[in-house]
Amino acid sequence: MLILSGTILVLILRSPSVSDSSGPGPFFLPAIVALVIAGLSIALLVQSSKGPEPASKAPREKRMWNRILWIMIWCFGYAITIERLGYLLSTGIVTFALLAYFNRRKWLLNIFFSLITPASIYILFDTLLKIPLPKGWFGF
Amino acid sequence: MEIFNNLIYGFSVALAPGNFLYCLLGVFIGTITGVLPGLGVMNAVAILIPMTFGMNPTAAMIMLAGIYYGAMYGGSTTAILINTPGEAPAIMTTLDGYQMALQGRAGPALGIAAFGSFIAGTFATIMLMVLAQPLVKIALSFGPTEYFSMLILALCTLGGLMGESVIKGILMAAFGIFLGTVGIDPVAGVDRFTFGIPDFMDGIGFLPVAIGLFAIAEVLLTAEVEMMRPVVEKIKGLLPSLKDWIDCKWAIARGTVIGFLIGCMPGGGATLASVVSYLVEKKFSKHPEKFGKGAIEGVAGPETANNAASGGAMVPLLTLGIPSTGVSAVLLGALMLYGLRPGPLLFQKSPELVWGLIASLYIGNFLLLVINLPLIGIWVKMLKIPFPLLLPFILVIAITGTYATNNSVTEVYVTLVFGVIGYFMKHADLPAAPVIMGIVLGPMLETHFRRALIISNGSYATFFTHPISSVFLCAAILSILYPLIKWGIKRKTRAAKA
Repeated sequence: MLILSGTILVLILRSPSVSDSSGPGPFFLPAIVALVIAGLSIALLVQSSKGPEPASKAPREKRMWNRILWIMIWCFGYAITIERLGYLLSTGIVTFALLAYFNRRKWLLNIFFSLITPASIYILFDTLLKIPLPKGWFGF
Repeated sequence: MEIFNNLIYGFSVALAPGNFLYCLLGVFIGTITGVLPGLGVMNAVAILIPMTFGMNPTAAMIMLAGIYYGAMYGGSTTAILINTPGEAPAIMTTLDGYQMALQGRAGPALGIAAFGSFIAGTFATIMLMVLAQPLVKIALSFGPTEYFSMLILALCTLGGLMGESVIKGILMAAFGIFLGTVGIDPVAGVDRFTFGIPDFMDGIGFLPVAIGLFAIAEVLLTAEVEMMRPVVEKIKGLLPSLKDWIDCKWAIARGTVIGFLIGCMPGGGATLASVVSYLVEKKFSKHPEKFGKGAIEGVAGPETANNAASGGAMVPLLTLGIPSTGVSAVLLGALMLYGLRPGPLLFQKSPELVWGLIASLYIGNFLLLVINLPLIGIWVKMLKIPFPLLLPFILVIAITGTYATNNSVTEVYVTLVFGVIGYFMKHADLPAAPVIMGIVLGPMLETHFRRALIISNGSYATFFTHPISSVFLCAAILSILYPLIKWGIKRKTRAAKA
C-alpha cells in the first residue's frame, strides 16, 4: 500500500496539469487519498511492530499453492482465448481442465459437466438474456 | 394515506407477472446462495448483475434484493444442518442450531428460523415504508456540501466497522476511492491513471473489481483447503411446537428491533445484528447455561435479527443513496449501472422502482416461507454437491458475467487481478467490502466536493459553516477517534492494574 501511494504521488507530480491547476483540480482528491493511504499504511506498520503477536489462529491445513496456481493459469488462459476460440470451446476446455484437477478420476462425470456447463451458460446469456458471447474463429 | 396509495401502486408493480417471477427467482437463487457454503451473497449479487442488463431496472432490483434476503434465510440451513454458516450472519445460528440438529430437533430449528425471518422481514419492510418519506424530505434539502460530508461520514464509519481494525477498514476504503478516480476526470476532462488503456478511460468498473474481490478470491480461498461436510439428514416436524413459540416470542421481538436498528446504521450489517441479538438473548435468558447446547432462543434471535438487518439496510440505501453494508454497496452500484441516481430523488423520479421494490419485499418474504420449508429436502441434497464440481461453474459464470458487461477482455483481466489481490487481502485480514464502498462512493464524493467549492467560491470553510455538514464531519472525526480513545482507556486500565 505504501508503494501504491508513492506511485500515485509520483504519477501526480509528473502530470503536466498539476502546475496549472488552481484550487481542487483533477489530481487533488487522488493526492489526498494517496497521503491517507501512506499515513494509514505507516500506522499499520507501527501497530504491527509494537503490538503483541497475533493470537495463533485455529490450525489450518497447509496452503495448497499448486491449486491456486492451477486455477489462475487456466483463468488467465480463458481470458486470452475466449475471443479467439469462441465462448463454447474455451469454456469447455477450462471447465474440463479444472474438473480434471479437482475432481480426479471421474472422467465421465467431468466430460459431462464440461459439455453441460458452457452450453447452459451460453443458452442463459446469449439465447435467453440476449447478451452476446464471443463466437471466435470457428463461429461458435 | 399517501403511504397506502404508494404501497398499492407498489403491489401492482411487484405482482405484475414478470416482476413476480423475478422475485421468486431472486429468493430461490438467494436461498441456494445461502445454503451453499463458500458462495456468498455478495458474490452471487455481483455475479448476477450482468445477467440483469437485459431486464428493466425494477425487475432487476426486485431480483437482486430477493437474492440478498433469500441468502439470509438460506444461511441458517447450513448453519443448522452442517454446523457451517452458509452466510457470515448465520454464524451465531451454528452455536445452538447444530446442537438442536444433533438432538433430533433440526426441524423446529429450521422452522423457527424461517418463521422468525418472515416476521422480521415483514416488520423491517413496514418500518422502511414509514421512515422512507420523512428521510427523503430531509435528504432533499441537502446540497453538495451536506452530501460530501455525509459521504465522508459513511466512508469513515463503514470502513471502520466492516473490518476488525478501523485503520484497515479506512485504508481499504481509501484504496477504493483511488480506484474510483481512474479514468477521464468528469470536470476537467483530464486523463487520470489510465496508462493509455482505452478501456480505462471510463474508469475501472465496480463490477469487475467486486467479482474479483468477492467471487474469485472466495473460490481461491475455498480451493486451498479440503471441504468435508457431515450433513444431518434426518429432519422431521418442521413446525415449532407451542412451547417453542412461547420460548421464542421475546427473542423474535427483540431480534427484529435490534436487527432493524443495526441494519439502518452504516457498517452495522446482518452479522453484527445476529451477534448482538445472541448476546442479548443470553443475557435476558432465565437459563443462560442452555445457550450453546441447543437453546431455541439462540436460533430464533440471531436469525430474526439478520433478516431484519437486511431489510433495515434498504432504508439508507433507498432514501439517502448511502449503503450500510457491502451487499447494499453492490446494489447501489447496480442502480448506477442501470443509469439511475440513487438517493432521495429516486422516490420522485422512479416511484415504480422504489415502491415496486418495497412491495416485493413483502411478497419475497412470504414466498421464502412458502417455498423454503417444503423444499428443505432439496436444500439438504444440494449440500451434498461436492465443491470440486461447483468450483469451475462459479469461476466460469463469474468470468462470463464480467465479460458480458461490456464485451471487454480487459475487464476480465481486471477481475482476475483483483481476484488474486482479494485472496491476499483475505489472508492479511484486509476487508474487501470497503474497497467497493470507496469505488462506488468515491466519484460521488469528488463531484459533491468540487461542486460545493464552486458554489462557495473555493472556500473550504463551507464544510464547517453549514450546520448539518459540520455535524456529519464531527461525527466522522469521532468515528475515527473512537477506537483510539478506546485503546487509550484500555492501556490506562492495564497500566493501572499493573
